[in-house]
Amino acid sequence: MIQINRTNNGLIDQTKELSFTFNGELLKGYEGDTLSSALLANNKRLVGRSFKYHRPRGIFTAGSEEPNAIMEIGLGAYQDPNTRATVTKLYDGLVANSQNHRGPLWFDFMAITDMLSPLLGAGFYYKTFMWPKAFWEKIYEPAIRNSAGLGKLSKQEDPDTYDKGFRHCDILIIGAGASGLSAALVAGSSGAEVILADEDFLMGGRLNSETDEIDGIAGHEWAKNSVEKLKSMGNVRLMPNTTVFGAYDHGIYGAIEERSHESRANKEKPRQVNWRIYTKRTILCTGATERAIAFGNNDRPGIMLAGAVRTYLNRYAVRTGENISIYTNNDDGWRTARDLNDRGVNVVAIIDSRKTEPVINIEGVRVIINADVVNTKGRRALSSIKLSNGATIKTDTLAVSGGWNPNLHLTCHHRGVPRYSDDICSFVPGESVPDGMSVAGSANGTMVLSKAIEEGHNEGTEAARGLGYRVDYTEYAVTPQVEYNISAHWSVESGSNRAWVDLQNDVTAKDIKLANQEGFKSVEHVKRYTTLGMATDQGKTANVLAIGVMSENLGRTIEDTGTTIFRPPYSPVAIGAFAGRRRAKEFYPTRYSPSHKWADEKNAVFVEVGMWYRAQWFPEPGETFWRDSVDREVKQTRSSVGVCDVTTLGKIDIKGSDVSEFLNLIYANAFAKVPIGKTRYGLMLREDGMVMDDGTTARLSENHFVMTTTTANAVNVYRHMQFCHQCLWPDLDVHMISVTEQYAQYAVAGPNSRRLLQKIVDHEFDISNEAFPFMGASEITVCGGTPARLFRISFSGELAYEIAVQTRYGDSLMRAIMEAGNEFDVVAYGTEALGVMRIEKGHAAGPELNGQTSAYDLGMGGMISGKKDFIGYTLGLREDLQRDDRMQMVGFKPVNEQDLIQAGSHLVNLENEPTTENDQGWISSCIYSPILEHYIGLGFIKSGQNRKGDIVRAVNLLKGSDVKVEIVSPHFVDPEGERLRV
Amino acid sequence: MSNYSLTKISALEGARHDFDGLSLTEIVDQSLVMMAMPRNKTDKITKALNSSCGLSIPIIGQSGRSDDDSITLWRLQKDQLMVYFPYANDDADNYLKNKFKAPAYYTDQSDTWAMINVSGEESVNVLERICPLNLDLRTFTVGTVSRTVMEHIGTIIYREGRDSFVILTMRSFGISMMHALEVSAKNVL
Amino acid sequence: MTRKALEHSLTCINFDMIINHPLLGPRDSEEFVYLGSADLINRPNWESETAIEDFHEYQYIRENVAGDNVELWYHEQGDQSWLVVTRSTLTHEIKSVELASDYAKNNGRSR
Repeated sequence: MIQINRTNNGLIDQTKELSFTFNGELLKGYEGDTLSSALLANNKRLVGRSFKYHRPRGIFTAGSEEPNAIMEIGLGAYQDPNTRATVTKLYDGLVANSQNHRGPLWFDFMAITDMLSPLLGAGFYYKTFMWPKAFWEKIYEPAIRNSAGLGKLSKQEDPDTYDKGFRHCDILIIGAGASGLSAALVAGSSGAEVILADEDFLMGGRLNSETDEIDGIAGHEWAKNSVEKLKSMGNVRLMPNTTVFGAYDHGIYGAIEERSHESRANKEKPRQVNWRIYTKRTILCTGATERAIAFGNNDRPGIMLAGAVRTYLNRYAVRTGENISIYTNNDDGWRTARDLNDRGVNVVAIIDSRKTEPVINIEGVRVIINADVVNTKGRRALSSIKLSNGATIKTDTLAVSGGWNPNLHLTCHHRGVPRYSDDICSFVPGESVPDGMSVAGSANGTMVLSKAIEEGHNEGTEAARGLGYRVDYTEYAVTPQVEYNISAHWSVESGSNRAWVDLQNDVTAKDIKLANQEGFKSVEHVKRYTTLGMATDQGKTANVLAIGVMSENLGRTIEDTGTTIFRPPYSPVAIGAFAGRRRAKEFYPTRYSPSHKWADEKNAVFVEVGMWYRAQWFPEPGETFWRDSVDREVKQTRSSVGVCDVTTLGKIDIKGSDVSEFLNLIYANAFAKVPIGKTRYGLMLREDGMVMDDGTTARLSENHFVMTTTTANAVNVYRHMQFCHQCLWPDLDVHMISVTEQYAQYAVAGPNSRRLLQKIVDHEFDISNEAFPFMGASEITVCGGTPARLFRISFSGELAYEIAVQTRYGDSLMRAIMEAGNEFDVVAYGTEALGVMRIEKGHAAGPELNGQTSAYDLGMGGMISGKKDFIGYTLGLREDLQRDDRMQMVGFKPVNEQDLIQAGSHLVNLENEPTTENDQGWISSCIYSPILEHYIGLGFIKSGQNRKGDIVRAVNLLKGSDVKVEIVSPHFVDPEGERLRV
Repeated sequence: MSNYSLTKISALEGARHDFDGLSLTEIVDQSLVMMAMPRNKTDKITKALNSSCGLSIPIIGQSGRSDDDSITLWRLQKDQLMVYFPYANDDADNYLKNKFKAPAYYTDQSDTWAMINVSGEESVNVLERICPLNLDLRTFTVGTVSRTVMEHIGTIIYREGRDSFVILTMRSFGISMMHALEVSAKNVL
Repeated sequence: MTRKALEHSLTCINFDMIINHPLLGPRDSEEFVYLGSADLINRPNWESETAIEDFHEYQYIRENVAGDNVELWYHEQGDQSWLVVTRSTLTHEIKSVELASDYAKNNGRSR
């Protein structure tokens, strides 16, 4: 339980001990540790098995680029696979398990695959599992999925919550290292609104890992002071723990704030917040990521990036080994030797591939110039390395530096192409970066700290000035100038030993060579063929190295080889974070109608219609089957009276001196002369002549109309009308507003509807048939002076009204109607009974208005006005839309009245087989009619209007039904329309 | 006269939720009327508003108050004004028509909306989880009004004070909006 | 759906554009509904001898522009104005935004 690799100091709090477990073993770390630093402090060098070959692997980096140390964190449903230990902030009680091994980590039964490696090279799957084809799904794929893959999902619903949010700023600074802080200090001083985001929980970037001095104090102290200074500015918002993962259009950035440490303590709190940041300028200060060099067996635990060794030493007070060697092709690697030596850790040797003078003189350290590491040994961790000069060196840690790659990903999210720089032997941002973005510091290829600070300052100044802010702050921090020299060195000839390029996806230099030899020359093809750079780390340590290796293979320049396209996200984002809180019932909001509370008290069964909750039927005691209720509701309505909440239908209030003219343009039937106090059925077409929607429009006064639309099309119709007004006839004096929610509207239908309403409507309003005939519309008062609107319209085919009051009275009116209707045995009916009655009456609705039906197809051709321009007029005249053999709407009834007709059945002639070629049409709506006591349907069949009396087959192969049906008029009940006029 | 009488209820039946630094309260005493301005009538309307109660037509996105501070005009679109004022009777449109004597088309919208007051020092921190607009006091000043979408719900947001907002959503969405605000409060506070 | 396509669609669901509304200033495109080419404003004359051909062209024939496209957006969750937006289909750069009613009047839709 002793942290044997822990040294003194570091940017952690060694007075605050935290407990955690790794593969069941209880371990200790400190506040300020990451999981990886705590594991190294406890000398856990072997932390996982590789993806394909199950090779033992150790912690390789100290940041979000980590390819090896990916773990399952948490227990049960909270378990989160593929989590990078290097960016997981340690908290008390953290549970971590290594992945991808069967049996204990130290003896993985699947490690046998490593011996089969000659068979598993690039394109292995493509080549091997082609034959026999039938084996793929049942044998190959499950076997591969079982042996490969990374962490395991809990297979339970994610119990964590996630949230989203929106933030705005003038200047977004991404990365809080030296250049980012420098930019933030000056931008903040100008008064601009600044957001400074950093993926780390401790701001400061590499300054926290290095021993550079800035302004005469330790770099991390300077960072800490700068952060304090920024915190005190009211116009600067610091967002630590926040990864900006994508650059989107017009200054929109996506960022994930990681709050797992908080949500573990309080499970109510969101684990991550997905921020959308709107900014005018962006300064990218994301620093650089170190890469390795490909040499034989370069993947053993104990082989790490040189910069990571410094991070563990300086920031976390952890020595990564007892006898450490360094292998580098650049000056930066030497700093690792110096820092280790300064802290009393034994440095065995420095191996520099270049012909160079020692960069730093360190007493007592063996320096080997112009040499390479060609192979390594050590079963579960490194024990020795072999050099190109034949020497073997015993060492437990090898710190490798192949140079630093600018983190320029976000500069490429709008398809910008990076440029290769010979100075730093890596890619730097190209000309084309997203609008409003500038880049500073090592993200820009500026590897010298003093220059990076200056660059951050300059970009911060420019961004603020560009937005009109005054910048008086001209001082920036100073630090001794430390040069960075490098010579390109990608891979070492390693004979038969494998040299790993992509540690996470187990891609070697040989795999790349094989792919190149087999003709894969584009970097995009090599990526897909070898799976290079495709895992959770997206090749952050691998890609540039692989491009270097490829260009050597193909004898091309690196510039010509190019990079793959960078896409969001920069690092993995949980799908839950994209969903945010929109899960399950909260996927979208819910709309409740004015009678909802009352209906709920009556045990209504609700159905979701769009976002609306509507009563579907109202079960009475003793009714066990839904149709018991629906049949009763229909019969009771048709024999006495029923009430239905129709508030959800769209209602549009239209005022202005040109409304008649406007309605005449958007409706297919004549609307120029609707009298005041009348309502009219309106048929609305699309410009292509197909039916868009239907409804009624009443004229309440000279310049005041109120339109109804179907529930489903309420939004579309309103939008369409705004289009017609603003874009086509902008001079018309027409003012529209939705009043759907302003009025609670109830249909009162049935022979006793008038008698019922006479008890509700105030007596000064005469609603007798003579005074208020069919299609009447009037503003009245009800229940002692409450303003209301009354329309005599019918969807059920019965004598019927729709009555509307301000929504505030909706609940109360429903209760009053039901009480007043007691003497008539009034019944409330839901959407099912509504549907039954409209089919009995032969009204087309959603299933018939499917966007492919013209007014003629629906039997409403006679309504089309031939004397005016209207939307859909001209194209509706096209010959093909008028042909007699189109699918026309008719009614259907079973020849054998006991038969059930299934909606969705296709129609074929009696003598024909049910095949696509023989298809004559389909049943669009179908119900059991409690009035006729058998099933009836509406549907479409070729030349239907001339085929009444024909008998065809209605076949539903999915439901296994095949019944004979007769083509009839769609008007099953009261075809002459006598009932609604009484 | 009918033998029945009707009682009214507000969209959220007077809901109120208190948190540390935040209150969510249904507004039940205000009416809202849309005034559509016919073509070529803007001058007459301007004069009538000014002479009847000292109102002037604000620029789009802003609001204006009457002499006695009781009536607030919201300008959300070009040819329309929204009038937000304390009034409880059922004839808000006619009341204003008679009061303003301005030649506009008046449409009562009082029951179209659920109205929620979000107040307290944490208001902006809670709203930023659902509101895409920049609510920084210097940008979204006191008196600013805007229409946007929050959690799939079309919403009007009006800043009536430094730490006090009026949130309007279509009445049927009221419960969902109140829930969204509560979830934000729980996530943040 | 390939993994890349899935990643792409997931990351694009949330992130929109900014449309600089002539009356309201910059607004997130999430508040808008897209319709299509602004050619839809030039509705043909129904009484012309070539009305059927004209309407056919109006309804169905569209340029597939690689570059600046003049198109209609509706500010549904805003002031309910229809806008004519000139947007590059190559870069998403928005070069101009105006009220469709003004555009329509300037393009012969006035009486």
